[in-house]
Amino acid sequence: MRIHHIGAREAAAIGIIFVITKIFLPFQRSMAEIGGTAGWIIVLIAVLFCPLCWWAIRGVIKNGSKGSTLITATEEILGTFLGSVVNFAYFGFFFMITFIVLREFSEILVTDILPRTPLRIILLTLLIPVAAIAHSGIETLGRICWLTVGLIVASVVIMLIGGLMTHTEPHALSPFWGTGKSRVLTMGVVKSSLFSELLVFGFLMPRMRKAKEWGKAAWWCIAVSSVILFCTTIVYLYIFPYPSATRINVPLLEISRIIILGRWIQRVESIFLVVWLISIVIKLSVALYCTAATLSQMMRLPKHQPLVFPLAISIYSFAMLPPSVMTAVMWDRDLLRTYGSIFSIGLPLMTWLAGIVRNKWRQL
Amino acid sequence: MINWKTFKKYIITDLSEKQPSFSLGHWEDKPRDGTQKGEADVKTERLPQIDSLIEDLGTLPSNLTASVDWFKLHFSYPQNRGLVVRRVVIGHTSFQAAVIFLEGLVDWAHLNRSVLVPLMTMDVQEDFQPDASMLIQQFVTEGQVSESSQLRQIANDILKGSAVLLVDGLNAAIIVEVKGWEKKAIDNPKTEIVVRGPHEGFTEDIQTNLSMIRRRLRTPDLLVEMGYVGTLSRTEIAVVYIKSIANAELVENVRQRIAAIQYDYIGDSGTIEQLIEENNNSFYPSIMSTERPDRVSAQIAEGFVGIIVDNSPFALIVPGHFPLFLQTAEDAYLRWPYSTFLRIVRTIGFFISLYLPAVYVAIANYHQEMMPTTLILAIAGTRESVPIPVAAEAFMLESMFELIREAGVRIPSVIGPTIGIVGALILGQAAVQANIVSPIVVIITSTTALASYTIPNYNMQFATRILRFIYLLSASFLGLIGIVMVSIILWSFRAASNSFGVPNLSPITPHKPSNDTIIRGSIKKQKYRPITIRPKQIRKVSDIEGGSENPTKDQGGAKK
Repeated sequence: MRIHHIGAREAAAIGIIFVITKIFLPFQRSMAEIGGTAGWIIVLIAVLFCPLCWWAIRGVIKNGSKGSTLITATEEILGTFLGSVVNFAYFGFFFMITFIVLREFSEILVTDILPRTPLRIILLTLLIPVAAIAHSGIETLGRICWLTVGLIVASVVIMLIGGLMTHTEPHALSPFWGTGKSRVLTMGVVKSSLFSELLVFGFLMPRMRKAKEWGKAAWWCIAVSSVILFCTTIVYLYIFPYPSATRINVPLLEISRIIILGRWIQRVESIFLVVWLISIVIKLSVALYCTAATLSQMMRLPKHQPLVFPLAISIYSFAMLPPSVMTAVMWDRDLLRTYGSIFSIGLPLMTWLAGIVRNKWRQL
Repeated sequence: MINWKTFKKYIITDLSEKQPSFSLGHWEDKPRDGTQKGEADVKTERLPQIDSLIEDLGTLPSNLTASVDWFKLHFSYPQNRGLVVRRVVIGHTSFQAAVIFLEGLVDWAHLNRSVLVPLMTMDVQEDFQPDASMLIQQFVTEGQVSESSQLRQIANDILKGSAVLLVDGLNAAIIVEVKGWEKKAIDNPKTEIVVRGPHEGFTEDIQTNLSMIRRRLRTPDLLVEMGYVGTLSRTEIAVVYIKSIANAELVENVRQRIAAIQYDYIGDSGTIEQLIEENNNSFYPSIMSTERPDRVSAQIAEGFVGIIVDNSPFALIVPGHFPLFLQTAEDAYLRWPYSTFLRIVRTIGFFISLYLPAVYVAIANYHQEMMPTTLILAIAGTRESVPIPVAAEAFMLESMFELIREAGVRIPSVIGPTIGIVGALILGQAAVQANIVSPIVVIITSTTALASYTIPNYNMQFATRILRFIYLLSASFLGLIGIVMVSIILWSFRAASNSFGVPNLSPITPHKPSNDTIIRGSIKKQKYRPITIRPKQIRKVSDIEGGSENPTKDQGGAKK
């Protein structure tokens, strides 16, 4: 058995959880803010663009030597200096995902679940398991993701059905183009960064036991993530009318709160909270693992573990930077989800093209 | 600074490349019959034999007096009263002989019948010259007999209950196996009682235990490899497997781990378990222990390896991955709907026994909105007069229950019923009437206790008992968040760990199709052995009618 390697199921599960966990944050609200009743169209357009990220990553890795990751292949293609600059951008991207999501979710917990607990305690409580799992490595991450992915997806489906059964707006999607056709189409392209997390496949693919299963894992991840992002957005718009939809801080939490199925099944948000916590911890662990793996490969360290705890401390410090929860949400919306495509599609595509040109040049 | 080593790796950068631990098979392969490594491919290590535990003591002198003196000195005679030296004269000759044995370890009647009487009454010629082979063939005809000139082997055989015949002028001893100590009869298993199925459990005698397995697996492929462990106890240990089924790498790994044991006293298979498991700091067991011969036989037939230790009524089964601990021998004897139902009950019981008190404390302290209004009012009503916090209440009652459980095990059986009365009065009535605890906490603790007894494995019960307190502590600090955070760390560690090269949570994760995990498929669907342990023969029956070539497909796995 090749240890520290994962199978297609585990790789797909890591990808799915890494991409979809944003549904537990104010993702649907920001879609409603941007596209109004056409928020779902933005997600649909983003879905159309996301395979670009996968193709670009695959292209980069295939242009590198055997066993390369996105990081080592990038450096191989672009050279040490330019490669390091691009890799540092990837590092920054993963680092930013980690600390912003950590802050956002901690704020949600403080606001809605444990109002009397200090934010720092919540941050630390989340960071300890995150660091422990990231330290265990990709094999553990894969196994724990496969163990929980069914639970997470099932809980989302149950919640959406429960929400729809409780309340449905008949004219939720009117007007069709929401805030305007051109804005919706433009933002659809910009928000292709909703799938920026697919960058994780740059680390997963070389760690898979069978190279021919790369595509299977990636396409399963893209398919399941797309369906979930799309469904949660459209169902949110059906449950909450547009004016309310732009004001709700944590949409899925609110949906779970309004579910009333008889006297005994109501106010079930704490049950879903368990699943969200699992999902968030895994997402943060994957992000921290990718951050540490990027840095370790840039520094040519044989393993990522020594970097996990120093990085966790840095993430804790950076998570305290946004002065308020709204600043953290704005950073997520205006930075990560606006310029994310540059990192997830732009840079890999550019590297891939450079790789093709380099190979052609060598053949001449 | 013992803990420094533990924490050093988190503080100081350790960039050394560690050798990977043992792993069995390739998780993404589709196993096929005969694809696993054969015996020839695997480097074979022998189990440790007695020679490796005792220093070389030289060879037996031919002079009888010198030999007897040596044994007396070796066994500290006469200070040590156990040694018996019986001097005899062979036949009607002048040849002197001595029989040496340890009192209490031999069967007197057997010794007389097979050694002493034939020796003293033997009819010998004038020109008789003592010869070990001739004596064995003509006079000592009963029982297992061997000859040896190595003093360490002769001394060890005396310790094992054999009688040693020394003849003057002969530089080899004749060792006659005349063991005769008291043994316990085969009895019902004490901790794994079933309704349907055999009612016999292992005893403390290794040969009796092996015979119970041999009776169930009548194949010449059943291999029993014997060895010795423990420098003082020199305990016999047997590795039992079917050579045409068990993975050769797995068997070799078992041998290597047993050979690596450096310990003086092996009192039970529990000691071996701790000495050969991957991580003995883990809360969860990773080696299955059972006192049922039918369970061991069934697992050996699946491709697992059994380890039997002398003086222990518990056999070990490796690898011990998680689903195995929630299964019983009875599951195979019941129709699949019944056994599946029982397994689901046990799985629910396992999770209840781990989490119920913690979840109650979390909900009562931090997430009251989870409970319907009428229920929370009822609970609030019962808690109104209770002066201590709910977490303290739960801790107190759980601790009391643990006291009662431990006392129940240790208490003399004559006053055993008292513990039930005291426990019921303390836990149930008096505590509630004194307003120390609320009735709901009593219900929670009792349900948890009941649930914990549904777990069939004793070691796994321990794991839930200890972890329950950890979850309780985390729930009292951070509610459900605390429980989830601690759980995810512990389950991750569990997912990361292996048992003899097999991931502990397999076949759940990493996923491998199986009809025998929590849900047990119909007996007609049980066509393949567990893929997770990579048996040499994946098929249970050589020619399966309509059986697919691909076990992953037949067992409900995704098509490759």
